[in-house]
Amino acid sequence: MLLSQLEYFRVVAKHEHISHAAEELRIAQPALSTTISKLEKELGVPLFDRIGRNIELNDAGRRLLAHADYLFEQIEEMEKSLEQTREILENEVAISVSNSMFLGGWLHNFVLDNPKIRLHQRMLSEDQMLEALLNEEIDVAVGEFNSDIPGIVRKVLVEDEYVFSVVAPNPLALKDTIVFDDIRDASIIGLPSNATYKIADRVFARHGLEPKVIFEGSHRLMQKLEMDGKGIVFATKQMIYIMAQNNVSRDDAMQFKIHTISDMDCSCQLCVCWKADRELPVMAKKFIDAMDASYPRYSDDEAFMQEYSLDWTRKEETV
Amino acid sequence: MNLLQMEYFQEVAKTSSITQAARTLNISQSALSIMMNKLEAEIGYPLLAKQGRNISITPYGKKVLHYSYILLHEMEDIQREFKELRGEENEWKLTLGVTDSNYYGDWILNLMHDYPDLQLNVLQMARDEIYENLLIGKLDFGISNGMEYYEELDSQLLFSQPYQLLVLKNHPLARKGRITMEELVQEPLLSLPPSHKNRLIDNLSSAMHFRPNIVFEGNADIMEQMFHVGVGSILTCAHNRGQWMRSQREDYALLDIVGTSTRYEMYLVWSKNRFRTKCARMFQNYVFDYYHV
Repeated sequence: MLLSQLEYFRVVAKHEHISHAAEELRIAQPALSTTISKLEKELGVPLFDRIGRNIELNDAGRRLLAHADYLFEQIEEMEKSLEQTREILENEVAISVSNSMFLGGWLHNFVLDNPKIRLHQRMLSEDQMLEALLNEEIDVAVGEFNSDIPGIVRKVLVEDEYVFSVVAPNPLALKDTIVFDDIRDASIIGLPSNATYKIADRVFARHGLEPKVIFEGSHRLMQKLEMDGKGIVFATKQMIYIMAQNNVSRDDAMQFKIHTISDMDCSCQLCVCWKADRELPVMAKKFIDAMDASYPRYSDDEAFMQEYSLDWTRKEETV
Repeated sequence: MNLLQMEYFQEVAKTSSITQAARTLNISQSALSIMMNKLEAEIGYPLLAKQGRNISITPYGKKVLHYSYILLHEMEDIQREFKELRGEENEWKLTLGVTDSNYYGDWILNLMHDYPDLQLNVLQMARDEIYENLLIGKLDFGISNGMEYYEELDSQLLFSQPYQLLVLKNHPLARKGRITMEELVQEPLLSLPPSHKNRLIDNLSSAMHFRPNIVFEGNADIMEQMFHVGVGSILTCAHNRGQWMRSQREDYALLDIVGTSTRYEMYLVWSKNRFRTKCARMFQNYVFDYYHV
């Protein structure tokens, strides 16, 4: 018994009339008659009572019709569920970021533009991200990657630089230029030790040293302490830009003195990465494209740079 | 789309290999490949993904697999129903899924004695697996501890019993004849291993949100031995306790559990859409008679 036989049978059962059914199916009437008698022969019982020139569905026919209806209903269900699966798969993306601030503002808009998105985000360190990318546990990683990695595509979003901010009571705020020796012993306010992205550690690691962290806490608390001149806070130019865009009021922001360190290479690259040789999910591709096209870079915002009266142009590599 | 493609697809999914499936189906590998490509083209979604040498089933393939079982079982159902319409008899064969093998012991032997021609397959599985296999037509009936509502399934409560605790006669609560939920949480318990898909203790503890103090896990024989040397008590119910009380020594007592309305409930479950053969109707009546429902 073939599905097509049952399909024809349903139409004949609906019309209880061979030629009307043949018309609907756009096939020749004798061919349809043959199909039905073949079906009856195979099932071993007549499905229609023949009364003169008319045919009428009988009990066995009604039973078969219930099965056939159910079958085609299930095929429709299957098609629907495939469509749903497609929608889910096309909208699913798993990302990871080492500091959620990197996505502040931008991600919000991306989600608004893609209302059906099914977003999964995990905070991971850069090393963990690479592993997760290679294992295909995540589709896209956003973080600081300063060199190429085998098996990974790396797209630089921002040519960035480590800086630190300091507030007036702290003598460092009064200096014009800072060299690393000026901050070697400075008190540092940092993110908690289990945080995935700690800049002070990275800066000091470039000298083979560890920073003297006096206080670890959330961003909000860090800011409060810094306002009292208790210590300095490391960031990147991009992070300061995002903070200024999102949660720091303008007046507050103006009190911070932002310093670059003149005698060391503080360059770093904020990147979006994904696994090479892999067909990325649709939403992951959209995510990457949108990031490439519309990620807000501090260096594109001249008004902002002027307002903070800082030399925002990246120094030539001093190496 | 045709059903032969579906059948072949099931085999490919089962073996995760075109080569192996082709061997089982006794057709050439290239013919099978062409057939699968055609099925994918007709359905319009990728069903198989190459992973090195092996083949994996895509999320779309999994959906199609699910429905392929429904469709093929429905075709079988048509054959069964028309066989009876023609006055012939279907095979006396039933496949049951049961959540707990401890509960049908008494009547299943009688049934097999009364119907020696009946081929009975009894598979132990979790409740969700029973539902899924009923829906796709792999099972004729399920005997399930507890029942959730499913539009496509029918069920009949067979029995509902309070949980009880089997303790030794010298247990401090034995004379009282009951135990509170607070006391039960503390009570050292013996239980079947967690690999057992439907433990009484898990049913009760998840309904009452407590972590049972299970001190010993093992099979029924060793549980019974440990029980008699006082290692712990056993959670049971009227229908289940026979297996613990079969020894001649009458050194046990049963405690009612106070403070819970959770009961042990057993259901016979079947698919509404499935044609019930003469054999299936006999089975259903047999079980209903046994439990007086």
